Amino acid sequence: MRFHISKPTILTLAALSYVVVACVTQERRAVPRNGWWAGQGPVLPHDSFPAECKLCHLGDDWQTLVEGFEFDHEAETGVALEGSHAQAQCLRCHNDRGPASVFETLGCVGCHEDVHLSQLGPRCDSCHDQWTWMPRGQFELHFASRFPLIGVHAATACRRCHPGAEIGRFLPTDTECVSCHVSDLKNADNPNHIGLGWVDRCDRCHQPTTWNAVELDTSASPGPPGRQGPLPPPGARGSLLRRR
Amino acid sequence: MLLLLALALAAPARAQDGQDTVRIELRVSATRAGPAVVIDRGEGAGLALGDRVRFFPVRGGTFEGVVVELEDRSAVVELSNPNVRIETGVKGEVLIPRERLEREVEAPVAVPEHSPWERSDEDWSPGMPLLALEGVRPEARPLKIGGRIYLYGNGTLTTDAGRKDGYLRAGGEMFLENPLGEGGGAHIDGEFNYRRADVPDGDDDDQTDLRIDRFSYHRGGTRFSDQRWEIGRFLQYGMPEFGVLDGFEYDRRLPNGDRWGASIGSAPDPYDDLEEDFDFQMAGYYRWVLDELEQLSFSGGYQMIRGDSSRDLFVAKGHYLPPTGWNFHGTVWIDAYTSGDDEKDSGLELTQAIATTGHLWKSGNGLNFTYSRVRIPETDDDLYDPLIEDDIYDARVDRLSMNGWRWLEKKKRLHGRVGVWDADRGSGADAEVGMDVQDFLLDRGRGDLSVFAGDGLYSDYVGARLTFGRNVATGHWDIMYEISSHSQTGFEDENDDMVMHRIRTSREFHDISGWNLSLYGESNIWDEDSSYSLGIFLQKSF
Repeated sequence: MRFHISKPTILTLAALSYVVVACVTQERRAVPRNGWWAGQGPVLPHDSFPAECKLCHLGDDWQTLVEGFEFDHEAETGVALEGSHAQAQCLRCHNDRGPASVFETLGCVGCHEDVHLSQLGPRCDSCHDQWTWMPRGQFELHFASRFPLIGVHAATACRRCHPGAEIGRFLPTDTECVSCHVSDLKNADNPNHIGLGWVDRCDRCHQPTTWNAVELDTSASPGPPGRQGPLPPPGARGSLLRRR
Repeated sequence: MLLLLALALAAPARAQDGQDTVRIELRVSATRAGPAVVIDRGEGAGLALGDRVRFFPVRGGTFEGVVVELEDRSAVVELSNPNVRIETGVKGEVLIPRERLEREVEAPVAVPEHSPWERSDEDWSPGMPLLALEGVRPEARPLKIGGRIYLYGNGTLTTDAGRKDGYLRAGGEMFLENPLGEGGGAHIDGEFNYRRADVPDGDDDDQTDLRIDRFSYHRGGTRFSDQRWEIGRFLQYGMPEFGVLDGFEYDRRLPNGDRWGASIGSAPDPYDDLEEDFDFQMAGYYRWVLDELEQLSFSGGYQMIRGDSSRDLFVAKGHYLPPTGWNFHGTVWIDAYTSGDDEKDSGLELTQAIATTGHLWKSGNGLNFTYSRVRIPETDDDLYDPLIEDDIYDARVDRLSMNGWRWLEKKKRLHGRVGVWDADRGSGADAEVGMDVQDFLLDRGRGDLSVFAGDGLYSDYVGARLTFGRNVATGHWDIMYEISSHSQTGFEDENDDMVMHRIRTSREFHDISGWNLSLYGESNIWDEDSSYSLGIFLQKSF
């Protein structure tokens, strides 16, 4: 089903949306302070803090902490701050969204946007540490998939197979060779792969050990009738399996 | 009053000389030049000049000092060991004679005069700390700017045909808190990419891109406001599964904690550097939560995209996150197709799913089970080459995996994983088990030895990996060696084996004047060929 949406339709929908939002906003009720979290107290409970306020606060400004303020988060709360979290401003977590404990329960996505759109699950620490958020260990993670990175694939930039990698999108990705190598398939004219019907199952002849050569599997079957043509003779060198 | 409080807090103790004493707990409130610190207890708490104070830093040890200056609510303590540094916040204690407190309690305490208290306790309830009711509203806060800048670089040389690959990513992210004085926030995020591939016997590749990931302004969604809206380019707030939007999103929190919201605008192309083709997008969602702790929640949403891309997507997700016991996260993506879709049958298709349940024991041991499914949705008639459309849209993989870790001793941990997968072209399994040891060979060193094996789509493999690293004052370094033997599925015995070696080393510098730097080098060696990579990551947060 494909629709062509005209500009008047878009403008009408936009206007309707505006009306709906305006109506909803018009009903805005007074939200009592902390009404959302009434049972849980403040963003940062002070009930177990030392009696001396000046330990943390300036005497004339409760919103500003003393210079050189230090707080042993693990000793006082049981939650260790590691990596960049130990350097972060308190208000990055303890702010007026609500008690940090609720967001901490959610894990990383409690505070950080999930740029992977939930597709990679809740265990961010599988790829990220807490210092720079630079991903690491992706090579090892491929051993926990059906597609371990070997040969030339181990020297290939992530984006070559995951075109959305730079914005955090790794899925979906198909592991069929032609998903990435379709241009190579079209350029393979010695012999002419497409003319012979060799349009899939590249792994019957090619191994991921080289950009240039073909390793022939002389024992391989030609494949389903009508889908595959005869295979090249043993020893033949084929066209490149190379992604552009 | 303070003395009464001190008495209540104080635990009785008996000094070595048999005198009845009271223990006064205290903390270091400031450090002084020289071997002295300021503590948060003074004459009002019963302290006197010459009292001996003991400090207990978190890092261990006990250090002593003597009270040399005294005020009503603070005192200066001179440390016995001039080489010791006691940090602000460190706890301590002082033992004082009980009779000193009792004698002073007898003194009459004057009650200060003050005008009647006028503020009501309208929002206060028993059990709520008194400081709960105050807070500076977002619109009253000063403009604050935060963010980061970063640079990625990587170069790879492959000996086979002399191919060279490289990329450079330079980006920045900036948050502005209350830029317009009404309590909202702005968020700007972008990246410049340069990619180059030199292919000696083929076409070279040379690309540059400037991508804007975010340019938005939002307001609300705080404890002061049950409504939130955002406009511009942003990742959708209520349902990130719907992706990046150029448009407007509205979100409302209901009194019971549930939320609903809707968005309208254009969906940029996620596979083409978020290029904007104006694909009209409209979406709505509802999130149900059990209670204020949000330990149990379910969400459902629908997204419609029309234009060059077209999609009818339903997303459902839920989580159960109790403080102890097994937790659960799950999300499913369901696409709706009609007779107008060329490659997919009419009806609903479970396109993608991921569900994880896990448990973390008090001992530090953990166990996770994960199920995932991936299919490729049909969204754009022109997205894939017609030659491969059948393969793309028929592709499917389901995977069930388990991973866990168990502490054998305080510094030895056994870890492992096992997974099975089933796809449109076959099925297989993989497993890994390893042991890591902390303080291995060197103080703050860490060694890890893992072995792994698997039955992949194109090859079977077995291998081992040895890693050694160490945390140092400026950061971290590590070195890794891995060997794996692969047998290509379907090839004859004399032509199917390949041994691959991988060596990697990295050095990280953490928080050097706010900068983080990571350098790494890596080499892969297989058959008669090899590849060599060098990389850098540099980041400054502000």
